[in-house]
Amino acid sequence: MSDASPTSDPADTLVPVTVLTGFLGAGKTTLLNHILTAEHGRKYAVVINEFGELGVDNDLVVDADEEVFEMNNGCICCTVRGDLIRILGSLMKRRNKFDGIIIETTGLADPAPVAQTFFADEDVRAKTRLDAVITVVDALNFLQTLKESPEAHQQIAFADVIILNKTDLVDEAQLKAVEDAIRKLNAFAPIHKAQKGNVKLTDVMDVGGFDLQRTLSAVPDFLENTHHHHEEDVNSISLTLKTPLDAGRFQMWISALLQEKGTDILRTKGILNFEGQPDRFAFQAVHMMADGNSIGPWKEGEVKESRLVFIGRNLNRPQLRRGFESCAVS
Amino acid sequence: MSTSSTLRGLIEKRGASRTVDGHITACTASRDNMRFAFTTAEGDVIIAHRADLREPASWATYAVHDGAALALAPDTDPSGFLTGGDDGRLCRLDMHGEVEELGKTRRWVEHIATHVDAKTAYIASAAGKQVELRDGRGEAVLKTLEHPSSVTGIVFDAKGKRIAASHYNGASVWYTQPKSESVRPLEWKGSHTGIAIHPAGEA
Ligand SMILES: [Zn+2]
Ligand SMILES: [Zn+2]
Repeated sequence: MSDASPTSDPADTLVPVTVLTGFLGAGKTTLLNHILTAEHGRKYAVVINEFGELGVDNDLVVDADEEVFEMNNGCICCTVRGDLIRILGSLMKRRNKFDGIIIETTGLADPAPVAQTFFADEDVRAKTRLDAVITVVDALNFLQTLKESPEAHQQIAFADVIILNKTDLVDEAQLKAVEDAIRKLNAFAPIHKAQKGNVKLTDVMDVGGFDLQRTLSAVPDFLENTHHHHEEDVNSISLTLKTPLDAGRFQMWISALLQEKGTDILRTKGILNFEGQPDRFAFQAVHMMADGNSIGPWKEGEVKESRLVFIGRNLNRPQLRRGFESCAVS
Repeated sequence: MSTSSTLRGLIEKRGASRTVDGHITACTASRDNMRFAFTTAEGDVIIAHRADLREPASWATYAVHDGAALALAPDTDPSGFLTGGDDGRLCRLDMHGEVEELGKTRRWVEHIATHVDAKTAYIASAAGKQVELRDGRGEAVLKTLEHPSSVTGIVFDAKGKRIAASHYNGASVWYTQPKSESVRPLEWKGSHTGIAIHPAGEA
């Protein structure tokens, strides 16, 4: 973990939750067992679905039902996982039994309802924090899967971290093709290559997916993707602004934007520099559900600029840029 | 503030308290109202007899579940209790402290309801989307009732003729009589987190 989050951060008292997604056969369960059996002195509660490929070797394993509940606002993108709310509530009564929670989803699951559960449910929010969505990709079959299933696009788009697994089964050229395909959908998530799920634990656990400083600052502005995109493709856009932001204007703009286009915008993340605020502000949203908090002062020598990232469909870059720039203090 | 100090005063004057590790997950009285049971997130069941009510040191603790005890109900006999746990077990704790496993599933046993009258007795337990209806002894499963999503509450009507389960987007009402297979779905959009039946019947 970087030294970006100070120990006084209230987020530290929340139980970190890691979400594992990826298609059947990508190696999710192998990765899960690798995490569980590694020497880290930590105990995890594991929530799995019953269609798991392999057994999970852990003391506290809970079967999930993947019950997607609609919110009462009638919007199709505003959904949560009802079973998770119940399970997390019950797990939190045994807070002393584990250090973190890992949730594995079925291969076909849309990660949005899982992620949105951490925004929408007050009790869940009060006790846990979504550390990262980890998407496991099978280097051998990924390009084919991408053609066949829209869920694969969603899973890549939602990832905070991507594990490119089974790299030993493909040649250089195919590996490059797979990486390019991933980058087109999600330009920001770090990609870690692995064989049989042998990742470094620090790459997947406690990465603070929403402590974005490191991730976002690693992203150069090359993102003006010259590749001509089909409008319906999932795509990433990164915007930076040197002028400090007016907090009120930004709130107005982003809420209106997410209300209007939240179905298409899968994820929004940002590190923002608000006028008159000594601290960096981390902003994040899943579809139209948004959240944000101060994450401590800018480090010495760090460029004080605001950086905002969108992942979604039908993203209109010039329009988003104009909107973001209109939030600058005048 | 004032409410909690009033409560504290009452506890000191008329009751007793004991602090346990982890949370208390449920409490109930036995059918004869002579004993009280508390279940814990550690899987223990604490029993306080009316005679020892003000002496918490003499309350008995039984380790029943491996994991949390999630559900608790008075047994169909006058003095025992039934518990459900995240170990998937439905257990009976009788007045002698004997633990008997009545059933085991892969899912958490989150809800238990019992019914007793002069003619019949039933035990119902919910795990995941399934409700199992048993005879009063708990030995025979009379029916397995399937629901569209996880069951969030179960209740018998006053006469034990019907059992109702709440779940996402509504509730399901079933007849307890073995021959009847039919279900009456009560649809109401949204997440239902509990259920009760009016003691007078049709409500
Ligand atoms: Zn929505
Ligand atoms: Zn394209």
